[in-house]
Amino acid sequence: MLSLALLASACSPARSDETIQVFAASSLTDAFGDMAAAFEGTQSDVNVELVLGGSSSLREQILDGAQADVFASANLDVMIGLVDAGAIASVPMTFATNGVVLAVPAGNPAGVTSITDLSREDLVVGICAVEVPCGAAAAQLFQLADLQPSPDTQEPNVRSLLAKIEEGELDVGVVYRSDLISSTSDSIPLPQELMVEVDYAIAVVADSTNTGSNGAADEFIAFVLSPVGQEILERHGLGQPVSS
Amino acid sequence: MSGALHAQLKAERGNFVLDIELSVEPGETVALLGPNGAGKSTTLEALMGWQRITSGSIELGGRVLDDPASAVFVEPERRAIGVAFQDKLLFPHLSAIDNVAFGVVSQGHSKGESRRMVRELVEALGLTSVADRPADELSGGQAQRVALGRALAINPELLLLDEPMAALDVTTRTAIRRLLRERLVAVEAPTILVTHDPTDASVLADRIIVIEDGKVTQVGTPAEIRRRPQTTYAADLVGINLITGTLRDGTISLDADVVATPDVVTLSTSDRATEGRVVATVHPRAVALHREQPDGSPRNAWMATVESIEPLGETSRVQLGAPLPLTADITPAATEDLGLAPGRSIWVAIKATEISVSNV
Amino acid sequence: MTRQLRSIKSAPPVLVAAAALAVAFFVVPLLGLLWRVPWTDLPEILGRPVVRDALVLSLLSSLAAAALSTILGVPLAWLLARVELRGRSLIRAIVTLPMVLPPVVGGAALLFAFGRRGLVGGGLEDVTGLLLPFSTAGVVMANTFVALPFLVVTVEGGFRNLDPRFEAAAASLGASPLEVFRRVTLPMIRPSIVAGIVLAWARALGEFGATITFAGNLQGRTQTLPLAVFVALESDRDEAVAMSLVLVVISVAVLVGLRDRWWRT
Repeated sequence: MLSLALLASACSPARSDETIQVFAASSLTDAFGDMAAAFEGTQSDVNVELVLGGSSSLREQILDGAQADVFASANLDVMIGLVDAGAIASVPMTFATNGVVLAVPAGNPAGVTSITDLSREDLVVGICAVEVPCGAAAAQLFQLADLQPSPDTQEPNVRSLLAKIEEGELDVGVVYRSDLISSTSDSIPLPQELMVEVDYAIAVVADSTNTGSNGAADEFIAFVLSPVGQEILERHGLGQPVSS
Repeated sequence: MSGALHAQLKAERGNFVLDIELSVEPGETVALLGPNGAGKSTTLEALMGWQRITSGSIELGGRVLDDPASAVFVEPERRAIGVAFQDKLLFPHLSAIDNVAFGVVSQGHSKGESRRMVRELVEALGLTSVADRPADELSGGQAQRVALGRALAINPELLLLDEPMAALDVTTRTAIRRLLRERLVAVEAPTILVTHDPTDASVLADRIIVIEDGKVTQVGTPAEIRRRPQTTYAADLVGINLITGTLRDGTISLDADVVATPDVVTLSTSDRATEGRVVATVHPRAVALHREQPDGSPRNAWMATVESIEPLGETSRVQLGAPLPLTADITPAATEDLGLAPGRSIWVAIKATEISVSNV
Repeated sequence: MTRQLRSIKSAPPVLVAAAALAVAFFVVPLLGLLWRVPWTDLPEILGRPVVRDALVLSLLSSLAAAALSTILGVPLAWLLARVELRGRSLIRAIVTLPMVLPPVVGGAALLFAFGRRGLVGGGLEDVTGLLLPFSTAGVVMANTFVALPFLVVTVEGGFRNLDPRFEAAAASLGASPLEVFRRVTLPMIRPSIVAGIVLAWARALGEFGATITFAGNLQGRTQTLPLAVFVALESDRDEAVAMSLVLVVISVAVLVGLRDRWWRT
């Protein structure tokens, strides 16, 4: 028993260092990687652990009692659902926006020019499954454009969709602007009236033990909203939240 | 239409070299007799085409089956050779009758047709009651009958029987031996019976070919080989005295063609379980010769005439004549002591326990 | 009865404990799944088009993959077991590779080979107009890719355990090589073939990684049950659990049914 306890304490990080678990949407993978590093640079004793996944999947994990301190969602509805479930401890803040674009393989081999090309029979079209945020955004876009395309695949996440576009297996797909930052795919801009903007929201999770006025969870959220944090997000293709 | 088998077999398997000559006439049954590892299996496999010969030739009914010199090799499926394997190799997923009919189906007949064609054979083999039973549920004797039927059903141009009586209990062995004796008469094809049992060879074969260490050491009728065995192996096995008769209450009444005066010689055995037609075997070493009538009046004792004395390795083989022709092996010293010479009369004695019997 | 009791008594407690732990290792997650099943809503959920489509597609594609594996795998297993080939062990290693390869890697490899920009896929599309990725045929292909090795390994074992003298005996009875294969070899290794088909089918039914990587995910065309479960886990746990239950029930039913009837091992 004693040796087990010793072993456990030896494996956990030093007591003085605080660790916060940040659950963040997959589309924030790169941005929050930089964000965590920059935040740790400003603090002497805080470690940030990133848990990345689809926003809905993260929501389910939090509801199942996962040890989360901060939740950054790519979808407002998901955040609202958690608030309604009493799983959120702070007022959610929108901290970034993202827009939907058409992604095509480098050089646009199929010659996609507009959203109406998604109805072309000869094109192989991919979107995200409606169950994940990029799929919900695509559905919103089709509704705006009054279009009923028949996609050839509904990928379970944006990474696998992009991979198939980059490989040239898909002629065109609907993704987030931020997804294209580290991709070799090209983007086809959409006209102003078809802009689908999504808001990213961030909040402290109810079960967090790192909360309070000087809690690291709140500190992290403040950092994300600061000019430094916003600059990092912008570098990864994410826009500033529209102040309401 | 059957023709003779003429085979000059040379084959190698590892260090073992087979080099034998083999001729079997249509309708003739030849027993291939030899110890384990003598080359019996290799001979069969060469004839079947499972193994190519390195030189020599195999000719069956005028058709060349294997001749390396002229690059002729007929595949096994085109040889029309019926084989009853020692371990039967019945197809376990087929019924007894479908096993028998297997080769007939291969000849292009439908399943139903081929079943009808073998029905008579199945009945003759005493398999009618188990015809539809899966082959892996048959008794040893039934399986051997099926194996025989499967080989006979294709009307083979050559019939090979590999140790058909091996691994069977005494009663079954007798039944199969009797069945073979009846069936082989009707077989027109040359037949080779592989065995290491001299009784089987003597009862079933017209001629015996003894092979040892890959070579033919002796060819002859069973009687010839018994009289003048060329090797110790032949002497030990083929030299054994076989006496046919009828056993009742432990006493064998000998057949008239065996002994001219049946009343003079009867044999007592210690076997009380067997009854009926039997072949009794007595090893030549168990035949004792005495100058005087032996004491204690053993019932198996009589006066006989010495016909010949032949040296055989460290012993002498004595051929005895009327009333019961027998072979006896005795030491050269005993030959001298007894003053044996052809034409002399001598007392012959055999202990009841030295006589073993089996039904035929 | 008494003999069985005695044999259990004499079994070393360590072995019994480890075995019990192993059983628990499988039973507890199953109970976890059953515990989450939305029993009252189950009929409604199972009636949803997305569930029905996935079920039908899963059954069709896994059966097709099992059939394709049998047609291609039995001859290959025979070749590996019976023909002296140069590089045979290399062929065997390549064929069994998908057993150890992560299925996603297999799917990616299929994409690089049969995708529109793939090694042969481009030419195939030009000549036949056939597009394998994002098609049901692609699902069957991905399933076969991961299922075939199980059939080949199982059936090869069957061929190896069959005494070749049975086949030689059939040949001596006048059967041509193909006839020997059909009338003797195949029926005699039937238990191995059945076991191989069941394993291949089971592997195909549960296939996820290679399918989603190569064939994508579209309801009614490429979305099999495992894919539908994965997507539903993101949004509708009840639906995911209900479909998982369907997978468990089908698998258990088939495995139990087959084991009793043919699969005596």
